[in-house]
Amino acid sequence: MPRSAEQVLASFSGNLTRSDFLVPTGLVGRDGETSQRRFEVYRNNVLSSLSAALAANFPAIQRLLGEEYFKALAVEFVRQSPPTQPVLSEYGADFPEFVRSFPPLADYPYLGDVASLEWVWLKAYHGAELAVTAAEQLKEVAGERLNEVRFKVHPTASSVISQFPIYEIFKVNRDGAAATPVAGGGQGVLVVRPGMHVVVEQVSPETLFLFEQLKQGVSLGAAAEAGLSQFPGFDLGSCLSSLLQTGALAQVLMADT
Amino acid sequence: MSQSERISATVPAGAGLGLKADHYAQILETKPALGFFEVHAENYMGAGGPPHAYLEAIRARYPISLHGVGLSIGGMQPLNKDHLQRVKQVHDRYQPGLFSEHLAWSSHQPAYYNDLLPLPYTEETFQRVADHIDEVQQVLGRQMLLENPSTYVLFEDSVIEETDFLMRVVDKTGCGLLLDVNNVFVSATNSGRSASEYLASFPVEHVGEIHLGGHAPDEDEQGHPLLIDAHDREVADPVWHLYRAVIDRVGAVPTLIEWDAEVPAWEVLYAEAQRAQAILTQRQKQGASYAQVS
Ligand SMILES: [Fe+2]
Repeated sequence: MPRSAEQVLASFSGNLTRSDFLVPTGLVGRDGETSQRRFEVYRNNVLSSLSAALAANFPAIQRLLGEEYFKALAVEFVRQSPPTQPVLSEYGADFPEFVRSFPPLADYPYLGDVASLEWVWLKAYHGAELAVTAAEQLKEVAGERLNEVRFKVHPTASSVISQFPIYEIFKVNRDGAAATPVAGGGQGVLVVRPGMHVVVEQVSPETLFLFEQLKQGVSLGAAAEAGLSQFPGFDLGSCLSSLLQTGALAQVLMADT
Repeated sequence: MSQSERISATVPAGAGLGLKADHYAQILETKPALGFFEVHAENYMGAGGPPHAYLEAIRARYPISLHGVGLSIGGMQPLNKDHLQRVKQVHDRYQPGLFSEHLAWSSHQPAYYNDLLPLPYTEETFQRVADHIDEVQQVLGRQMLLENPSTYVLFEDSVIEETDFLMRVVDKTGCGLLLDVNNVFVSATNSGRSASEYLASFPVEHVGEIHLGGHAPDEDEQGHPLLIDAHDREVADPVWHLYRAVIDRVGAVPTLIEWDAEVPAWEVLYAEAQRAQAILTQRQKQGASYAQVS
């Protein structure tokens, strides 16, 4: 019985990424003989182009691991989680978790968090636009009503918190910043793209706390109270101004009265 | 920028180049003379960001040809409706003068493989491809161009010649064709056949665009040449030769230089485009003089 084209393509695709592949039957070279070399051109294209897509999305991880190691890691990931749609700038949502739980990398526990930061950067780079007017708007708000202010957080704004110095690691491996001796300890990083450039800023835990509160739609007054109960000496003014400076708080939403 | 401040959408019968992020700034600064830029639809599907800002600015000055690489028209499974809608969004936003996709497949549920994979040519695949093209043209509300593939293997299951397959798809769907001359040369060499004979039976009157690209030489385990459609270097001499013959036959057609890997400095790319442009210009002058004589 002749095979359906569906079966032909299923056997082709079933052998594209697995390491123990077979050349699909019915696939031949110019002499009519089965040719592994020819089928391997497709396998190589698929694995190389998808690893290259991951390298484009996670350049700091590639730099940290070296090209060869990264390629091997990426091929493992592609085999396990191939893209499920054709937009490759959206491929790799699960890559940070994969890196985090890849047994041979257990001695480098910061890699997963650096990958998370790169993913958040990518999301911000391709995220929606929104004009940042919050600082200007705030000047118009009467002092006694400041407590009622809520913010529309920028659609590209996200935070990553880590027990490792991921901000420095990211900067050195992405922007070619000079490597400074990295102090131990964790870091909170805020990422937002208010214009053409993605802003990546190291911020205090208090600032991140305020960001998360305001992102949930909590009013400035209530967020300040929550901050004080969480951090003794919580300084609303300085946390607010660093959020405004990055553009993470895009617009002021005044209470309905 | 409002759409009314844009240059017309029509892609002229001149040379164009693939738009690369590395060249955005230089293009906007130097405004090189060029017929059009071709962009891969899948690179402009984010909600916002610098890619859109640059493409808006470039679209204001140049016509755009939109090239899809992910619709998997040659696949046997239904088209990915969400992805087709995303193609439509890019299409409607930038109003390209041409839209093209491939006679190939790239997805097989659930995976997307990011490569243009070959299909056997049978009655069954013909029906499926024609249905997919109908659907794309209906959703986009326009004619699309279907590109001939480069292939490394042959299917024992194939019973229709590729040129006949393309002709029948054109007849059935009203689509046009994108003739990739490098793909013709690569596939012909890899299958031990003649590129000129393939072109002689290619329905050239339906060609709306031509692609030229570079290929990398290799060989199979029998020692037969195996050319890889790598788009990583200059167009090879035999491909230029075939191109010139096609242009002599059909007249000037929008022509794209494809260079997608190991992308060189802008000047090197631009020189390749100028080489194609010179052939087109020469043909247009000939065309004009034939017209005067008759
Ligand atoms: Fe092409």
